[in-house]
Amino acid sequence: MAFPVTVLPELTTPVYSAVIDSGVLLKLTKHTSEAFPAAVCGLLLGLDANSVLQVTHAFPFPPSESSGTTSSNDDASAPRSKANVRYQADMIRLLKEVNIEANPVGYYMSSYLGGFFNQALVDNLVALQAANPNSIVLVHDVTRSSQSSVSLKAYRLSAQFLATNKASGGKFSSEAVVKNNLTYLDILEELPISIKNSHLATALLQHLDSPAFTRKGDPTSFVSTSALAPNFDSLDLAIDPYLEKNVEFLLESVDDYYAEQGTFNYFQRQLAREQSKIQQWIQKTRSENALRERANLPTVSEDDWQKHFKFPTEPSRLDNLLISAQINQYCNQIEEYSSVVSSKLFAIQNGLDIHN
Amino acid sequence: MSNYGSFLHLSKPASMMTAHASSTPTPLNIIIHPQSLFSILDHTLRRNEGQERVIGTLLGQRSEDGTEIEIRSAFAVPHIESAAQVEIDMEYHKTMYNLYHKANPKEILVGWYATSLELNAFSALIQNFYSSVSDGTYPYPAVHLTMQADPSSDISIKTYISTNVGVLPDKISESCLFVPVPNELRYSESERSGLELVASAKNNESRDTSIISDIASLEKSIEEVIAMLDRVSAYVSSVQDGTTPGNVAIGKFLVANLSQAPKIDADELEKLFNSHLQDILLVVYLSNTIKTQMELFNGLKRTAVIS
Repeated sequence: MAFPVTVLPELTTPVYSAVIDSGVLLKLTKHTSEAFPAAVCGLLLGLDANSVLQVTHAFPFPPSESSGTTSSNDDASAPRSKANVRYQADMIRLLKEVNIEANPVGYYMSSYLGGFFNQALVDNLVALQAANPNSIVLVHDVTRSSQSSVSLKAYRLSAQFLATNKASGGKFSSEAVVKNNLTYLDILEELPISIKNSHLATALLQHLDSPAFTRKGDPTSFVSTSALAPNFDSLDLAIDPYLEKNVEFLLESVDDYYAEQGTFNYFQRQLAREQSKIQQWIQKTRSENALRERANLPTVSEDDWQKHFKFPTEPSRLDNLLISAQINQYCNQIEEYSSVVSSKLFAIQNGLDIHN
Repeated sequence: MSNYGSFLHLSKPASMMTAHASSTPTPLNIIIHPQSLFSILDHTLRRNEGQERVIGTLLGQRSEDGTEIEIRSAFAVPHIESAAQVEIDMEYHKTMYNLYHKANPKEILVGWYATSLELNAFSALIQNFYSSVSDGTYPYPAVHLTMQADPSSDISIKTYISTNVGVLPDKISESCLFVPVPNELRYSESERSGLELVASAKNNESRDTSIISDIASLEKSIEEVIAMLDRVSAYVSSVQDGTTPGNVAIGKFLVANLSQAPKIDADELEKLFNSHLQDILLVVYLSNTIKTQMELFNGLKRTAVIS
């Protein structure tokens, strides 16, 4: 990011919830759903006051120029890419002229079925929260929003995570993870969100809903043509594809988990082998030293093993934490979704029984 | 929209077309996405003290034949207006447009907005800039959207395109004829859920709402359906009682909808239902097992490191 990231500013007024302007919500849903299935992100502007984070404006980042040839990873790390830092500075300067808060408070990103736990997210948040500890990320799940209600969540990295990151210098050793009491369940902390309309927006919505606005369509049709006609998408019964994809992703994550576990097991075997070698060396030195003592030769210190051997470096536990968190996310999604689905199923059964 | 039928839309006579650009058809319909309206309102709220109206640029897409224009987003442009002159920061407009265009390559300049319904000489001046050859929408006409955003009166939205009118050549830059064009509000499926969420706060005094879970939104939908059914059945019984005169069209419509209920064999349904439910339960069981395993593993890891 374009801000000094060296000093951690004092957590003066931590925020506990986020208030999002309705215009921001619409802008964000438009950008993420138009770009779908590509992962996109943008910057959020606003203020933090009275322990509430107010998100009042947002703008999208341009798609990375090389997109299409590179993986989506490039777009996911967009908030920190050089081109975007410049873009962001230009944009903020211009927005300031029309009296928009020129204060970045985080960024938004789209996600596909809640699969957003990755290194890029963590890196982005570490950088943002170093600049402004109250920064958040808004995750908009496009797939779920087209299913039923808007799925928008606000997160930021937890204090435990930041402490672990600092203590282990970004290496996430097992020791640091346990010492800081960090588990996969609390990498991110969620902030409650509320959506706020301005008075004018309320007036507009009232106007759109008023009978004066309703178009005079086909007089024989009684389907409501109001612009804000209620939406019954959540009664849709096409439930299988969603569940299927979710399970597929869940299994993929489990595979990732095993692969990661394999790396760690390899490290442990390596460590054990090294340790037994050291033990052997110490034994040998000890007996040699006994001989040397008898021959009045200088002895070799037993602590000298450090000169001859080196422990393998422990792989970062961050991947493990992230994959675990991802699996947990998928499981929770399935649970939430199945509760909706089973109620729908029972409703249909009852409904059709009455007919028969 | 409300102004359907309130005016008659005539396409421009052929002679005017040739004067303008022979091959460009005039837009017959303008589609407005709600997001742009919210941007305009936001801009109104942020206007400088004493400023009566604010203006800005409209971005969007044009259909291939040019008869339909979609307004998809908008951004603010600073301007100073006094009785004698108007000053618009064109440099700002250009830089901002370039930045916007980078992020949304599909959206191009289509016109401009102002937050008062008044059309005056300045409007013509600005309109001519936006439809100019160098930086404007030429050869297409620029769309001018006016939105009444005064809290004391109803919000109303009007859209215009312009044509040159035969006046003295030295007056041409500050005169033009605004032709009203019908407009309608439209949004995509995924924007709809966003708009619906925003709209759910419209009768709320605190003007805020929170994101509801899937199950809660299902409940809400079902409640709405039940309310609608109640309303229909109340209407039907009142017709049967003779208190309300029956309407043949409504009756036909109801019958047509009722006949859409599928007739399924009870056993068949039972089978379908059970197999489906079992699938779902299996998936839930699987996910729960994985979750438990993860928690178990996490606990073991912890004790292993501590010991």
